Amino acid sequence: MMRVRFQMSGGIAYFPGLASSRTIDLESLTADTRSRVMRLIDEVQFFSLPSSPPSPGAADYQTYRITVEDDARQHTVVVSDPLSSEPLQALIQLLQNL
Amino acid sequence: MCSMRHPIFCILPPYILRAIAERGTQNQRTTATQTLALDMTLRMMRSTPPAGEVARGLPDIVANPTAKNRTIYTAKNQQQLPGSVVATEAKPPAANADVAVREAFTGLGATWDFYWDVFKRQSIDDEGMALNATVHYGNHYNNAFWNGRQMVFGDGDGELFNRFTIALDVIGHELTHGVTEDEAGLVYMFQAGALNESISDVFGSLIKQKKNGDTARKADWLIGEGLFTPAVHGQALRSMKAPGTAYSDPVLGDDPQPDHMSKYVNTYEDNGGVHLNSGIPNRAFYLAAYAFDGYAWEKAGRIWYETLRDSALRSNTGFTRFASLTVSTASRLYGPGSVEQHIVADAWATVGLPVSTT
Repeated sequence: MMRVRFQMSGGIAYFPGLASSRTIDLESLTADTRSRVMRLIDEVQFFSLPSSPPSPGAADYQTYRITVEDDARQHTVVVSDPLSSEPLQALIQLLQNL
Repeated sequence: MCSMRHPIFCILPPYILRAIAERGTQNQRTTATQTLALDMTLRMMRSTPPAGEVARGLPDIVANPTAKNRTIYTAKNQQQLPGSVVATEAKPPAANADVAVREAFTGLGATWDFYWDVFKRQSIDDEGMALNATVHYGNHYNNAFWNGRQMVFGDGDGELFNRFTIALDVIGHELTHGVTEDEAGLVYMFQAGALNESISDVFGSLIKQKKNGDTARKADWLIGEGLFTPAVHGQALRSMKAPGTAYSDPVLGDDPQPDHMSKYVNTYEDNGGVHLNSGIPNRAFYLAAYAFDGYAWEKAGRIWYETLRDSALRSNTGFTRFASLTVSTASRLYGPGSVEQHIVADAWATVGLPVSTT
């Protein structure tokens, strides 16, 4: 069983209504969506992906906090815009819209 | 879950619907503390031109330091920066060009003009730095940011937010992050971060006020008016005049900005509340500008700008020290015990930050 916790924060203003984190149980997704999420988690090598701080002097960027856990392991990544790789961009876009 | 792109029951994006469903069910978790931004100035970074500049063959040295040097790029709804060039000084956007490109180009121009006309500052670094902005960043991206060397604007989702180039004060806000980084390197966390944010709101608002020819008493003191679609119950992102009143919306929530130190928000969210507690110094600026009357950039703006340039303004400066420095600056510019000095001190006292005038 795999679960993903996702939280977006930051940006040019703080909106209380948009700030909550949520947990996605992959088993609750359709088979197709689940396989897309899992493929992207593999593609970004999530369990060895380091967090990355924003660039020096940067401001108003959005920050994404993602935790993936399965029966054996758990890993958390905190990254900010601009995101470094296309698979990571795709994963975050997918999580935002789930 | 919405399975169609625009089904009738899915007016709002799913993540917004989920936000509504989840509101109030649990306290927001504290986000991991971000690595403190290094105090690295643009002067250092300028030695490396942004990608694309060399390829375009632009000279590294600006021939005329008092001339603007704007370049607008498009990310074509991807997230690669800076993207492809769509407008330059030599090739400005046509009157019928893409509205985001035109707004970014004129907004950068208005910001450049403001800093030059009012403070004789030559661009972000006062040494003629090129102004670069990327529009159409990401897909329905609900944000604008400063990445440390350029501005980046999303198109908005069209449901809650319009394109982020629509508001001149937001363009001025982002560029001013570059000015603050160059002059003070205010760390983007807690009170120093809230001051960094407030300074961006102050000069973003002044740029809009100057463009509109508004006096302090006529200006609306809103930040980001026009960004919300008509679906949102709110006027703007923030109000400097009355922090905490800019919006009250079932989706976005209620404007959480405090207007007084007694309501200071202690949090790890939002880099330690940088967009929350900025309401306090924002209101102090508004109160000083209102008391001075006339154009807000002439006295209040001058005092805040000279404070930003003051070497005593360290990167970890908090509210009390900043307030005290503005009072010292007013004394230096207008004389010890001057009306101006007292106006500034009174403004800070009103938001709960009393400072000595002696």
